[in-house]
Amino acid sequence: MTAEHSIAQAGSTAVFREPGLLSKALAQTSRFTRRQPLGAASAVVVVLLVVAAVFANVIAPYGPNENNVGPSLSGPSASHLFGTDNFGRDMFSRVIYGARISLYVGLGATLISAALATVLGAISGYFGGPFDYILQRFVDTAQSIPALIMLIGVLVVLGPSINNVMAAIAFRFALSLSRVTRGDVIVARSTPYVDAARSIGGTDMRILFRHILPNIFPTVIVLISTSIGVVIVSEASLSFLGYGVPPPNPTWGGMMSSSGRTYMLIAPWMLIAPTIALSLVVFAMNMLGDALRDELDPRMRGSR
Amino acid sequence: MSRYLAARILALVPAMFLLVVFVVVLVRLLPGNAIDIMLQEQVKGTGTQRAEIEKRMGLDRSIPEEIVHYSFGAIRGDLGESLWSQQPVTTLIVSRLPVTLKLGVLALGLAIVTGIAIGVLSAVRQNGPLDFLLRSISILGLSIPNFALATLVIVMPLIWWGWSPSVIYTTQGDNFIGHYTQFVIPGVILGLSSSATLMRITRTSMLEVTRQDYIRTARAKGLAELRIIVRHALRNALIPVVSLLGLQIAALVGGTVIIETVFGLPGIGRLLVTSLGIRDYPVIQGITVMTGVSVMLTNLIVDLSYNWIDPRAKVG
Repeated sequence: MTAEHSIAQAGSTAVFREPGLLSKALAQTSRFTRRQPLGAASAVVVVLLVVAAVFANVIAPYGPNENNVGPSLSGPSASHLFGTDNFGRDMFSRVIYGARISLYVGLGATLISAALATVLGAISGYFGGPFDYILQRFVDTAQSIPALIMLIGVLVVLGPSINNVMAAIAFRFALSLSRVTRGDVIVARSTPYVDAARSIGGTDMRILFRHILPNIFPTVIVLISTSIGVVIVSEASLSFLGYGVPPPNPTWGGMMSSSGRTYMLIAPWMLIAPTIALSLVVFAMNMLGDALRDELDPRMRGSR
Repeated sequence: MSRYLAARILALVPAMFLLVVFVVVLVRLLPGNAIDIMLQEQVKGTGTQRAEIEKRMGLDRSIPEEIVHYSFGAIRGDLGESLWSQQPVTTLIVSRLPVTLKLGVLALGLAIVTGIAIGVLSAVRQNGPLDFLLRSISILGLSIPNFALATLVIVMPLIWWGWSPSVIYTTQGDNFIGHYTQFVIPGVILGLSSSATLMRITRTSMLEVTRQDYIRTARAKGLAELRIIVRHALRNALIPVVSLLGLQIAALVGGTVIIETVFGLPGIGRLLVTSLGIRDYPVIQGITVMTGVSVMLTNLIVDLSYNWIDPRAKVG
């Protein structure tokens, strides 16, 4: 990793003498695009999702829960791109606002779980001992209960709300991801530079924060990029089963459940629009995650 | 090996104990009015009924008492009684088990066979058009959530041809062939994402293994390419695939909840959803414990099979 890295860095500094931040970013983007064309295309979809989520109130012609903005159950038309549902709500607006919930829960739960997994993995892997043993049994147990079943159980207790869904998913994923970060910490702990840091009197805290955490950072980035898609699907599955974000919030999973299925024969657009939105976004997230992993994960080098 | 086996089995004990703690504590954490709602929904509650329900949920015992009680019951195969039908939870689960097993085995079998075969093919043709196509399909398979695909598979044929896969369950007695064929579409959908996951890890692992020296040696000896791939490369490449299998089984069990609901198959996943709907907590607890223990035991078997696949992996 280091040799390849330093050569690449030496090359880039030779070409871009004193590169400005912008030109450096542009160069990196164009290199990424050349090496990972599908990843770049997916990045565009992800950017569109972010734009849709952030500017939902500007883009959507109607409010997500505005009833009777058109004749109910009318098909796609110029005034209602994705048709309307049984309450006469504009499906296009609901799908756009749905992006907001998917992104909020997807990004929020992923970031929280990655942060939690890093802390747990670092403590568990670095110090070992009883804490490590007990935590690992917790992870064993958590991983033995299918995520969906565990999440439903936790949400029955917590009650359905956007933040509870996010918290439950974050906690469940943190346990699984901590095993990966723990493994990396254990590897990093036995490297010569950690021995060196310790021999010059570095404290545990200093070694953890200054030496080990920066080295497992690429792993954490990879975990984040490959988890978002799964997290978004988890939220949608929960909402689909009725244990996720409660109605009338415009979630994609929720739109695909009860009302969408009741009217699936006379108004299939109610079902198809959120299905395509969800699949497209998860597809793009997975493609982008893959591309980023290929670029960042040292273990993947040479396997391309 | 025996030391490793002993350590692995020993580690199961605290994990299973935590599983029981989880289901017991979960019921305690239910919002205080849960029983009130239950009584309102089902029957006109009287004081005696309330006490009766609390007793059957084990709420009359302290948490440690209930954990011990539940654990010993579970060891004897007694997971309590359903609050409404008053049937033993074990009986309910066992009666639904065949449906879930048929669905799960079909999905898992499909996932393993197609996932590994396509993964090897993709690795052998690395960066060729076939590899590119197969990888794209696999990411697509990973991306379409199973409930979305299941719904589309029911809706689209209905719109186009006025036909859809059956969502009404056919028993083995009614129609033997129909009974088995009804699992095909749900099984394929359920297995799809696992297949894609296994395909991707097989490909990565194959690419790593085929760069090893001993593969070059095998080539230099003049062995047939097929023999090199199957006997020398695949066997070693399978190790990470097998370790992923344990997690995939848990994912499949979770997936049955959705697939059985969408396709109207009366398996354990469906039982869970209906029990959640009528707040039949002992059944929910029982299903959670049962799936958890099954996944733990499968993981143990998976771990032990390392030894069989990889003679080098003499653990312990």
